[in-house]
Amino acid sequence: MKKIILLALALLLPAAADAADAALDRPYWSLEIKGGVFAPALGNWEQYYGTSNMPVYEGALAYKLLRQVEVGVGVGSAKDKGQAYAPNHGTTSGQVTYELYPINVFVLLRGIGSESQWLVPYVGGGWTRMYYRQKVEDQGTVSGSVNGYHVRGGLQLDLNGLDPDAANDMYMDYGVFHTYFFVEAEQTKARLSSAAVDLGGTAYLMGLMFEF
Amino acid sequence: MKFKKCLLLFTTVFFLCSLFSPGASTALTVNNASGASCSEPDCYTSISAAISALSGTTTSAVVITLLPGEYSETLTLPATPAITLEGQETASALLYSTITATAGSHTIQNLTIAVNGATGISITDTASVTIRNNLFWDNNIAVSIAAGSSSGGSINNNVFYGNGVGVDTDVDLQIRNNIFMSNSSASISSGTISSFTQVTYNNFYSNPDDATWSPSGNTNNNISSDPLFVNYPVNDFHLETLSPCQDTGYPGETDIIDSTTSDIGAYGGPYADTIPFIVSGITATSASTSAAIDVTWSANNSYLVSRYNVYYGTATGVYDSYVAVDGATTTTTTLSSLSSTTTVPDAPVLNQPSVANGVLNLSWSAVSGATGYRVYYDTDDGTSSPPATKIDVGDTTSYALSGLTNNLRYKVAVSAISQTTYYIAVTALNSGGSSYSPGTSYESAYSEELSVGVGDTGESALSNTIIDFPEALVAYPNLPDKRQGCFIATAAYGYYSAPEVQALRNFRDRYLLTNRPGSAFVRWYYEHGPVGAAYLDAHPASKPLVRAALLPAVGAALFMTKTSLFEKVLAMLCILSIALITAYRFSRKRFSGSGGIS
Repeated sequence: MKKIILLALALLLPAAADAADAALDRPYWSLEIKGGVFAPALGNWEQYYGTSNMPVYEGALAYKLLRQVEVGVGVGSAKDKGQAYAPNHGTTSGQVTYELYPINVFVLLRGIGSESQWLVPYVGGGWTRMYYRQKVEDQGTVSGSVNGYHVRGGLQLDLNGLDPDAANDMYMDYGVFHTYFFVEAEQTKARLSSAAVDLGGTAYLMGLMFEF
Repeated sequence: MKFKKCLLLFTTVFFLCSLFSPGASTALTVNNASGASCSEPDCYTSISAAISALSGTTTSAVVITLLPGEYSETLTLPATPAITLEGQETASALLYSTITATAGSHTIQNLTIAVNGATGISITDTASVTIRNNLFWDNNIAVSIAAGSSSGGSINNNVFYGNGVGVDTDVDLQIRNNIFMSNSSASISSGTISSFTQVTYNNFYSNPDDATWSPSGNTNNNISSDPLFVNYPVNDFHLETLSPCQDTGYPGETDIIDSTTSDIGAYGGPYADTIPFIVSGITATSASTSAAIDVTWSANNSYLVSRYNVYYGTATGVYDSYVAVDGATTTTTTLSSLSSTTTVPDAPVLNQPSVANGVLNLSWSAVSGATGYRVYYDTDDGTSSPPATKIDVGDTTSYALSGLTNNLRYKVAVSAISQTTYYIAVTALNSGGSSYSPGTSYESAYSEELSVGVGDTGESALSNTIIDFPEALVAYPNLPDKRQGCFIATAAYGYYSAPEVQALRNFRDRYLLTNRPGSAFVRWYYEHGPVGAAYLDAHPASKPLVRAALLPAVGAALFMTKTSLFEKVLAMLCILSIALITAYRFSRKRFSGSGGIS
């Protein structure tokens, strides 16, 4: 734990040192596009769906209240196909399509102190409305939604330093200040009490964030 | 002597080199069909690849033939060599992109050009292009000839249908034997030419400028009449028997098919595609007499079609016999004296079915020599008698036996059947002089193939019998439908897809949501039902009591949704009769008890 804290401090130190030269002209918006895998918090998931996780795609738009604080909204999509259960036979049978569409309203805290900082750690979290849809082939579809929450954290790598010319073009052509590649972990809880299940889980994502 | 030997050696080497050098052919084929056999240097999978291969290799004229297919390539014809870009069959060689020519002398023929809003053929600068026997539809401008007193060519025997403008030209070029129909802006337009001198023998119909080109009594032999296409919505622009375009084209040319005066349109003149449109609407059924098949098809109404060939054989796609049917309006024949042999195949092995909601998914082993399978099923009566209800399921090794009652046991078996099967396809033939043999360029492609069994059917013994029952499946996780939930019933029966819950949902959908009071009740229930469901979840001991209380409602829902109107009326009459009899007996008892009438 101490090592992690020291590492975080080491990352933030140059940011703090450069904080004084922060220009007034700064980005106010950020757009995230990311994808990865989502491991549902359902004990028997693998038994019915074959693998322990399913692909997930998310996008988010956030407004920067401060350079280090942003609020935003994101949407996601995860889908998998598996088998249903025949209760009187005691076997799996038929095909089920399971879809999740989370909507997240979040606050994100970013450890950035300078526009030239190339590695930015961040943490965040907020409210989640988890929409679900489940179709049993030749039988019917159920759908609904449930409230929950999520937390996430990750590390962003500023790509501007890798190709300054391209970064300059992105700014001139599209007004993009920074383009970050990031990896993050996201934990969601969305408990559906009537069915006694948690529709949340853990997602491991990577993607690009554009600040403009 | 030495010199002669050297000369001989040199000549031999030169000959061999010229024989094996990769020079371009003057006849190339383009075939973009998936999996088609096509290898360079004679066959290419795209038009642009064929044109690129010509670059700098030859100055001789080259013919590039497009086999049936859809081509979406933007093409620019080079200055050299002179290229003839042609379709093997006009209606089936579909080009969805613009052809541009800026130099050289080229020919574009027997194609369907439908660029969807752009220009079909663009000719500029010094290019000269002969455009003949094409179909143009859905182009913004079908043919654009611009910027050029040097540009040129001719536009003969084409159909311009449903474009913005048919021809937009700055050059007074030959426009002859064409049909212009339903072009929204103009048949022919020009920004620079005040009068055209070579627009002759065309048919202008249903365009805004018909009166300009074919005024009454015009001396250019242009007409304005419905051309009577056979079926233009499916790209069949052949002419029907009474078409005014038949034999009314330029008298200096004759049709390639019947050698009469040229027709107006894409299938007239000496360069027309001679292949008839494919036959459709084919049916084939076993005839009332054994070893015979009745075949029918829809008539090909092109006036040029004079005969049909009905092909048949005992293997798919391999037709070793055919029957010729003369006359374009004769569209039925009987294939008779067909040989058949009866064999009894082995019994298949039926696998344990997978179950679903009202369905048993069956699968079994394939049997050599079987041409089909027969599924037998019945409700399980506890005896060893074989199931009686049978379904012929065709030549497949799986079948979803549906429409069954959940949780009711069925016994199922399967047998293999064998019958001689004939495969049948029909072609149409144009009246191409003496050439009436199958496979000529006067014959259409094969129609859709049908198969029919003839003769006696040999059936195997039944497979092993399996007893199983269908049931409603439960998804994992078992989630409620929050939009359409029967909350209390779902809580009481434990899961959303329970048959009892399904019965109540069916009743709601058919009898409540179809009227205003019912919908109001459903809305009220959706608002308050979750409270009851939450109580049940918190007090599971009360669930059996609620299930018992719901039983009459479930029974009534099943009765209302599973019975016919007659059964409902009958049941109502029974209830009414019982009620009346009870009331009558009750009233008699009261009267007799009170000392009344007796």
